[in-house]
Amino acid sequence: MLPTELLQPRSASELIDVAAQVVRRHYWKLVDVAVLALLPYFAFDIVYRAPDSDAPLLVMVLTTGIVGTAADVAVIAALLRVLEGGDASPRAALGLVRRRLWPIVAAGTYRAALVLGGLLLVVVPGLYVLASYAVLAAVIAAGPKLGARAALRRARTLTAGYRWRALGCVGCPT
Amino acid sequence: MSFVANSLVTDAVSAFIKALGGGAMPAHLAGMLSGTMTAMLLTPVVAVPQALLYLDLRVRKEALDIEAGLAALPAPQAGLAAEQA
Repeated sequence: MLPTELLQPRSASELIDVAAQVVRRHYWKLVDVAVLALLPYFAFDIVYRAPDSDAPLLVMVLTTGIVGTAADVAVIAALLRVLEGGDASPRAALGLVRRRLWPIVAAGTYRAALVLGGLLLVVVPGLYVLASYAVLAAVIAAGPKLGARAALRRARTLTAGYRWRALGCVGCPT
Repeated sequence: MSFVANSLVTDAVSAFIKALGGGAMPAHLAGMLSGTMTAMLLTPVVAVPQALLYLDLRVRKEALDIEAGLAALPAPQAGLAAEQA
């Protein structure tokens, strides 16, 4: 059960403030999970970004989108377990990533392609897509098991009407 | 988003080592290592606000706080239920 003080509607600045407190409190546990989730990307990076590599930009972006979504899902799963009073076990978090791999791959690819396309167009559509799918990883990690299309739809529905706030919450830490 | 920082750090460290006279491969490996470490360190910073935003949106749109409060209530006692019936 999540603590009731976390289940309150907050302004964007309050959300970022609470996020900073949560990060400070649980940072190294979450880094452990992120390290394990990102190790495959390191191997990919060494090969594909070698000085003589001519890997197309699209492959790089899509891989980054998939691995980034997987790492976010693992960290969010571990965070929710910690907030519920459990243990931030990297094994459990990565197990959830494995069980939900298909939505992560399909939805991560779709979002990365849309963000890249939007940013290449005139920047603003890319930011709109980024805001629309700001909670995609949380939807996959925290909600019931959904398919890729359902997860994308749910993320879009949840952020509808709150996209500026979503963009602020995702963009501000960046 | 942490991958944007990854790319920036990777390119910056590679360029720095090349500028110091290092070979292409050591510069590449050092860049990769520092870039990946940056992504690993920044992923929680980016993921936590997403999780809290998700909870906030569910509270606003789906009354998650009420749902959680109801789930936390103790189950009604059997005797009381029988008395009310």
